Amino acid sequence: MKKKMKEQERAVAQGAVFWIETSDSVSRHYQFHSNGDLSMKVVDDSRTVVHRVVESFLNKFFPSGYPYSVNEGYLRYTQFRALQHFSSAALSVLSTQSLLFAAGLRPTPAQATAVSWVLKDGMQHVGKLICSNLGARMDSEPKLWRILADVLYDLGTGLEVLSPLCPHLFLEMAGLGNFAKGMAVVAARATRLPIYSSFAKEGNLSDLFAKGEAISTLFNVVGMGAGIQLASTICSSIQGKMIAGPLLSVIHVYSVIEEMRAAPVNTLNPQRTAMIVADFIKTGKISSPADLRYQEDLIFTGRLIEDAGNVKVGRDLHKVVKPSKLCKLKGVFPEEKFLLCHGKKWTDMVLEHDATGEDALRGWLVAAYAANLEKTGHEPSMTVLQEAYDKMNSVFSTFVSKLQAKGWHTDCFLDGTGSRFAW
Amino acid sequence: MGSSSQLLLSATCLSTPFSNDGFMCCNSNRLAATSSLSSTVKWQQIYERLSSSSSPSQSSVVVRNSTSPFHFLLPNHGSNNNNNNNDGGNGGGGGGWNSSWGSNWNWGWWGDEENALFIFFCSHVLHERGSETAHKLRAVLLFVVSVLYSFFHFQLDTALSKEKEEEGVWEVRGGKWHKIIPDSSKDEFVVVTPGIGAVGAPKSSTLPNLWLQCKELFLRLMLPEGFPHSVTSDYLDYTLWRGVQGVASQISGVLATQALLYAVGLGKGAIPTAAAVNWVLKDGIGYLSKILLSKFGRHFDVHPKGWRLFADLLENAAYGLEILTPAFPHQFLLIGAVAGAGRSAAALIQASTRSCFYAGFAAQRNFAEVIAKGEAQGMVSKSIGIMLGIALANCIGSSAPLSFASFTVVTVVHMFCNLKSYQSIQLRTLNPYRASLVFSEYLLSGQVPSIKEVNEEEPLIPVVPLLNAKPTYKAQSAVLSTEAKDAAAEIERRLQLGSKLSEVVSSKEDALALFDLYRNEAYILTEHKGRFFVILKESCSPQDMLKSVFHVNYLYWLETNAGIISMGASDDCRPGGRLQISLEYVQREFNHLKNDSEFVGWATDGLIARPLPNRIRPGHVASTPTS
Repeated sequence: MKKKMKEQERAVAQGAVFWIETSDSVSRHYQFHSNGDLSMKVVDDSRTVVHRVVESFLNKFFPSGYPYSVNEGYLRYTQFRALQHFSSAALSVLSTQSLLFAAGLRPTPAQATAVSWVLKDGMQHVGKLICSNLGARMDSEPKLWRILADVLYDLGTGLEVLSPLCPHLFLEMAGLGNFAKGMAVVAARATRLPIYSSFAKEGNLSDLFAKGEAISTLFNVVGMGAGIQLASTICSSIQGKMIAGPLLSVIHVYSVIEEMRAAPVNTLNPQRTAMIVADFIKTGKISSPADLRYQEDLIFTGRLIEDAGNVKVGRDLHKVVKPSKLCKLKGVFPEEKFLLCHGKKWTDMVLEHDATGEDALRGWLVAAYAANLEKTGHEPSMTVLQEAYDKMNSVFSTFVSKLQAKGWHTDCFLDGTGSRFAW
Repeated sequence: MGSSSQLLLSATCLSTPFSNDGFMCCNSNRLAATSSLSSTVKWQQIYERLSSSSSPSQSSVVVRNSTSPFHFLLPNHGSNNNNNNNDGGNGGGGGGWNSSWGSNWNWGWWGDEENALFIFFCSHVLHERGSETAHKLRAVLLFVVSVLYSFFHFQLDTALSKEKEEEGVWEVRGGKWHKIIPDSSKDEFVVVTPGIGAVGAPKSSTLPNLWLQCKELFLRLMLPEGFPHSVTSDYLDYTLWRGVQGVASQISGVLATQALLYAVGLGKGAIPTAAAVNWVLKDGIGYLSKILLSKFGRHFDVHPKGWRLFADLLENAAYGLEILTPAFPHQFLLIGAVAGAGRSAAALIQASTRSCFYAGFAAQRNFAEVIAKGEAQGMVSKSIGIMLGIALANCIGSSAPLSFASFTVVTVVHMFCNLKSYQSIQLRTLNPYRASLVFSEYLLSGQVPSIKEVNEEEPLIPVVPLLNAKPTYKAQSAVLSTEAKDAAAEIERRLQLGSKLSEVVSSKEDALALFDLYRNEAYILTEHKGRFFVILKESCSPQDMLKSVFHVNYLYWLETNAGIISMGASDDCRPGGRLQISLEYVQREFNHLKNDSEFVGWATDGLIARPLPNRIRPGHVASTPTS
């Protein structure tokens, strides 16, 4: 390698024309010789044959242009996704086996079985329908909902696994299990796009999707094989299942959590906005989506962040403000699309119904600056608020342009089912 | 028992594994032109009836286009912050949005007496004419038509939202607006609950109230929150066509499954074996085809509509094969396997491209909401389809010609709906074709064409020009000149993104000149043997690719309009040379063009393309030293 570097340096010194071409992760060094011929050398390909074969196989499962075409975190996400599908598929084999024990292998009339099967599947539709109503929340917190979806799915599977224990309750157990699964399916499918879109760097969403399908298909097959092995050996009894089931389920949920933590979601929701503002006020630097992903609290998404002024967003206007104060509040920043209402423990922010992400950021910054000023001894008053507002205005345009440069989408503020107001 | 076994099978088909995305089955295309006469006639009848039955109060409905049954007038967008469907109508009262709303929503064929009568009349006429089986077939068709009709009606009514007139403070949660009024005695706000403040809504009549609530629930489950503002305007058209095609595709599915069962000699009953056979064939081989097909992922991004249509065709072909199996029982395994592979390949394409479409619909980044609602819509149309399919399958029995005939009819409906649904989608992203069309029109006329015009112009499947049959009513597309269209087609053919420099450059001087000219750009554009080669540097972003396409467009424009042709790379790079002039122009104009396009609504943050996977790092003295 050193020798090569030297060669290059010499070539530069001679004013030679050369370039390095990278195609399919193989680098080639091209150079024109003095006689006008073009020479080609493969650079730095010390990989073994096995390694190369494995890599070209793996390339099938990565989006074309990888790693240029995707955002940070994709590899880790994919690894855990594979693990997740593996464990989930193995689990599903076990649950199907249990179900067959509980229903199919019972000496009952075939029709009753068919009817109960249909009812069981019907429950899945009910679950789907209910879950489809929660879409807005999923946009705001896709990671939380994705984890919830997989927990629900495992719950449903667990019920199915347990169904042989009480065969007389087959319909109830299987129905409830499928209800949970139906909800899980909708939630999982719905949250996939927000998460994938955070990886897509070049508008290659379909490609990411297709490759994701390929990976999950592969590992589903492997997992199913493992599940069949398990089912015919240690899990043929219910005791064996009671051990293997929770184990697989823990692996499954753990990989989903890791998957979600790896995804650099780049839209503004309350928690991420607060974290950006807190980082900005504390250190003056802007975090990228990839920086924030491991700091995010995926379960308690509504936590207050002190450095960002303890702002709570999305509470009902009628709970936040009294009519006598409303006009006064509105009079403070008549141009802005947010209302800040200072409380004892936290500051409430209510957004106007067409507020964008930038409006939310402005409000948040004002609240954070005001909280900072108060800490340094100022009385909470209108002047403090005005001061904070001026401070915000002075930094805001650079702040937003830096945010956008880091890849954040500042056009929308996803507050889920948070309440807003309109005049 | 027969029906329950089929139901069971279709139900098992529905409960796909967790990872399996392809839930909406679809098919496609130019069969639409030969769409069965009877159904067109009925559509027309329904259509006429609809336009005549609109009461005077509904006069605001403007039906622009009689060839397309699904045209509608969207609520006035930017006029007032408060124009929202949910509080339409009642301008007088204090927040009686719930009660007034219902009067505008004449939903469904069972809700409206007149319409029900009409449907009944139709079915009556058909009943008298047809033979027994044909009657049943027609009943099914009629049902499909009535679903269409009710969608249509639903849509027209959507247009009837009125602007709110009164003042007040509102709380907005999702798509719901609650008025809050100050209570001066206690100095707090009170939420006006729907129903209390409703003016003129007799509270005693519980039945209509219940009906209204059911309708509200249904719409809330089926449409994204904040509809129509939270999605783009093409969403509704697409959704409605999807709904109908979902019904049709499920019918095909049930028919195909039944045919498969007959082929293996199972007939009715014997569920576990059938399910096992189904699973092995459908999934086992399907998995393989999925993995193989995922290689084409990038193609899906560039031409999502065309690939989707192809997937639908594939799926219908698979259904057709399955239907044919009883005719060749000894070939069962082969046919079944091919059909299974086709179906899961189609499922993969559908799942991937669907994400692309949904991402376009989500005007406020509400992806999950749009998908979740799509899931609910798909479920409804699938359930209807399965029921109809089972009914149809029972009528047909084991008669192969009949099942094939009904399959053909259903397929035609299915393909037609698919075609319409893809035509209604308006993609805002720029792929090489759309970018070339926009840019060359900009170069020719100085104006950026609108999203709608370009989407109408773009062929669904570029490789098959036959499919690009244009509707005849297009008088307004005068904005797009034929020169621009030709240029776009020509450029798409001649452009190669991500080429290897070593294949394009033959002499040292050329390479040196190119490196020097493009030292501040992330791409290198050159012409070689009549084709435009764009060589990407390592730092190249989609934005740079967009710029390079603009460059190509300008080069083409120079070639056709100014007659400047290529003289070889090193000559072109000299001051005054072709590449040098054009690069200067591009550097000057690109931001201007970007702003103009953004203003019209195009997503200009990058080019959606499928560049070859070659990148270069120039080692020339002028550039940064190699590390």
